[in-house]
Amino acid sequence: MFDSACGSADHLVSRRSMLGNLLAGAAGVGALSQLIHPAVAKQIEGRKKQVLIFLLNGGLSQFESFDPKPKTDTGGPFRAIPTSVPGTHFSELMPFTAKQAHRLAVVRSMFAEKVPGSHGGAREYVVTGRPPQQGPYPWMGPAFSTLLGSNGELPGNIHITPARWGPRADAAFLGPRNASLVLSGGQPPRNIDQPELFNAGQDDVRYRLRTMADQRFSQRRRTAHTEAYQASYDQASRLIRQKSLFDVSRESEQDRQRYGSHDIGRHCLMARRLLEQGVTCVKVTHNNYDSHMENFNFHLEQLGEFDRPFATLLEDLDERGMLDHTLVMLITEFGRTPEIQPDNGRDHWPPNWSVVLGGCGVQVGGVLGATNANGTEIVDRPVHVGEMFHTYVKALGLDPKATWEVGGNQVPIGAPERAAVSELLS
Amino acid sequence: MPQVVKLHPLVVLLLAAILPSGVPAAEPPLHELIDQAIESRLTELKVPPAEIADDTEFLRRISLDLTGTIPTAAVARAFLADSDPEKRTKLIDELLASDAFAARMATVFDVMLMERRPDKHVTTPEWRAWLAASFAENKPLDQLAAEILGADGVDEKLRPAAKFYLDRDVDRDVLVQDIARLFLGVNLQCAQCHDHPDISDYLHRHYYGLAVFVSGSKPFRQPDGTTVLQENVLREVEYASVFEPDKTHTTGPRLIEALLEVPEFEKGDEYVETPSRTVRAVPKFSLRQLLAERLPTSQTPEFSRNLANRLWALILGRGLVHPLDMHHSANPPSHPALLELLTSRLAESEFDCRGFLRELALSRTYQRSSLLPENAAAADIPEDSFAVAPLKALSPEQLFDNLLIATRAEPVLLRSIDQALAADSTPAGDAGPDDKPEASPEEAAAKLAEARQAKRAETVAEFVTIFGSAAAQPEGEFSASLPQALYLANSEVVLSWVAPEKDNLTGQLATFTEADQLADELYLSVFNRLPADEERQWVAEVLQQHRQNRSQGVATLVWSLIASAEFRLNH
Repeated sequence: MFDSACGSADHLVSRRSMLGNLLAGAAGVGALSQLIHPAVAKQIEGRKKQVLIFLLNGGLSQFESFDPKPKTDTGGPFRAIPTSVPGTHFSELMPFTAKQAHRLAVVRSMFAEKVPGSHGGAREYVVTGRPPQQGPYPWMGPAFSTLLGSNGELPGNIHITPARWGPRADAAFLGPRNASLVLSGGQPPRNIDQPELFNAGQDDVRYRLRTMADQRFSQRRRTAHTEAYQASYDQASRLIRQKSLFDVSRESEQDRQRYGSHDIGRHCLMARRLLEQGVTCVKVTHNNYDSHMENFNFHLEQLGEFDRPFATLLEDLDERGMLDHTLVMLITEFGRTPEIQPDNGRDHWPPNWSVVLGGCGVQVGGVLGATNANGTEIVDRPVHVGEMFHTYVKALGLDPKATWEVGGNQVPIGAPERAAVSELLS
Repeated sequence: MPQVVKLHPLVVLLLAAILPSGVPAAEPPLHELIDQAIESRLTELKVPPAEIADDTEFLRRISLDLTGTIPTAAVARAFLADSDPEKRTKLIDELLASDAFAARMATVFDVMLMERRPDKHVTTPEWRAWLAASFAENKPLDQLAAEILGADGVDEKLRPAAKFYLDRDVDRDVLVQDIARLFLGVNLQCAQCHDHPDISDYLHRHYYGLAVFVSGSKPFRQPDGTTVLQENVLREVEYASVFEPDKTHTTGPRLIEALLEVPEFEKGDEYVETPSRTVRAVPKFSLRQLLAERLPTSQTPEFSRNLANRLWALILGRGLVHPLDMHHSANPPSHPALLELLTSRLAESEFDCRGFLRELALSRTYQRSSLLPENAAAADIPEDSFAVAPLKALSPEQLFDNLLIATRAEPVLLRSIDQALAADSTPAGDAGPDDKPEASPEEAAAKLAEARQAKRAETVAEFVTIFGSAAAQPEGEFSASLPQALYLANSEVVLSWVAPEKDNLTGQLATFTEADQLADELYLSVFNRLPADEERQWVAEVLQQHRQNRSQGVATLVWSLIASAEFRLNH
């Protein structure tokens, strides 16, 4: 068998015979599948944990979602409706999610202090659990998928974004290798199509020649870099052949209707597809919550799209038994002001907002923390974004107090002055 | 013990013996002292060093390190054919004197000091041009640092130097951490909130001592819309540990432990002119100027040590102290006496960058092969022994430049740029009659050159996004990713350079009738060396297989080489 990572003399013969094969035109898919690198083929021991992150970008209003304050000066025009958890109410903009409340833990007392005014800075605070001024730190997707490891065949960490979003360097010191693979607008990754120049079998030939060149070069050299390099091409050539992974049209017509034909519906169905195939961490971003004007119309429209596919996905994951090992979270960079602004807007509000989470052993069916009658301040169990970061890591069965090894430098995974919220964990 | 190890002290002795007699024994040149230090440690460790690199390996490495790019096939042929025993020294001097050296150092120092932050007030081209001019005149590095740390953005000539402050929004905490890491080699990030939990040398007061220098500095928007720095008067700052929030401390300006004096002015007499919304605050005594005067000198040992270590790492692939921003007692240098020597020599040379790099490049230590010694296992040769040349990743800029050089695709890129420019501009007929005067041919040419440069920069930026580190992160170790592999394998940009054209490498090679000649030119162009027999055989077989479509066969060969580790790494 052909082992791409090994540069020992034993394999010179294999390489020669491989060249023979490829030039005889016998390089089929079966032969290529032997190019799996031992390092990426390693299996994660124990129960495989997965992560599903929803980022509502711009700042979801807590009033119009999980902490409604109807009939108060700050509450706005919408009613609160009962949920599947007796005594817990959500905004009427989330009727489908309300029926899933028993699968969720609601935290109504999120806060962060000294949050930068920018969306980017505040978002970074939430997804790294640390003030961005201290950063950059790896975002949750790259951090969690690096910690959990990936299913060797697949990218560990995929980010489904609205259209026209490019890749971000979100892995910080974990390096480009661990950055999110971006599906911009839910489309397959860039440069995944086989080029015309190397059509019909030529692709196999050039990958093999490349591998042979690397093997030659690796003899009598340090191999850490060449192994990583080989692995990236192995992953690329596999992914090119697995393009169908990103093809939502292969899901049933019925499912596509349940999720909806709008972008976020397709993206949620894509998330299910990817999780089912074993991708470790999937993140879905939904845009347009920054409602400085017309907050109510904006939320009516955005949640009108988001509510159903989100609820459907939760239900589907549970039905498939995946919620046991999949941590789900719905996050946003900050809340929105209690005071309703001119033009019916709500501005940025970091003193308190709401998040929900579920799956993976999270204590669901309850509400943690509370704000006062008109939502202007937290009155019970404030939860800092740094504590939530610890909580997510712990829910995944990992130790947030452990450290990253960064070039001989020990960097704590969670902010060292914070700890997990035990009330949320079973 | 392998024989090679024994040989080297002997060589040193021989060199000493042939020194002209009667001349007072001068201090040996720095590169010899470097080799003595590295090799005596190798003897202690019982680690065999790699052999000296052959000419091809040396040529490629020195060209990449000093000018950022690989040599062309023609340059490689000429160097290999040159029989002058001094040709390596001559090449080093030639490269150090070239414009490409200044440009390379500008890129290196830009990436080191700005860490790919987005441009805010000073553009990267302006900043790099200023850096390149500084390196072209071999400006002493202490002066360069003083100009950066003292910049207020007002003086037109030094405005680019203010990028360090301005493009960090003059944010105190970002500045403290980055000045500490980049100019002093200490990572005080954890000391922002408390004494460092694991590193006993990094104290909370070090952080706030540095913070005093920049706490008063703020951006100031001038009437013309440009932003410069102003500085409010202060003498000390207060701080408290997050673990003991009620216990406050104060400190004056400190360079790590050294506490500096600050003259006191009468209240109301602290400013050159009373500041207001329209009058920039300029204190009679500027703490930022104090920082610029006191930090980059041999009086601040951390400064020279950090600089010596960073220049060493640039050339030798890793620091004597590693990571570069982790100078502290629990992370000692791999070669303490050598770092001390380099530090003092750099300071004594008045921070002569070119002279210092020249000595590093002349050392045997630098000129060793990246091939492990025969029969040695990589695991037995610690990286910090410097026994074997390291494998360094090409930076995104280097990868872009070298792909173009190797594939000879400059004309292809130019054509695609011009096509894109043509597509961008509105057709002449639509503009209607306009009363703008015709641009002169010179103006039109300058405008075209600028537009082409901007388009080219877009492609470079794409390489930086895909192959570079995250913004505000030091350029990391080599990290291969899936999007990188997909980009090299399938992107329109890279494939347009590989696809046969009459004037690129693939097209030119396809006209070669002899497989052997084709193989020579291919390997010299991409790897700067001649092919081995095995590789000649691959070339012949691929060409044989593509008798019907020779161009495609050549494209396959070219791609397999540019996509390989030997091309992607500086070895």
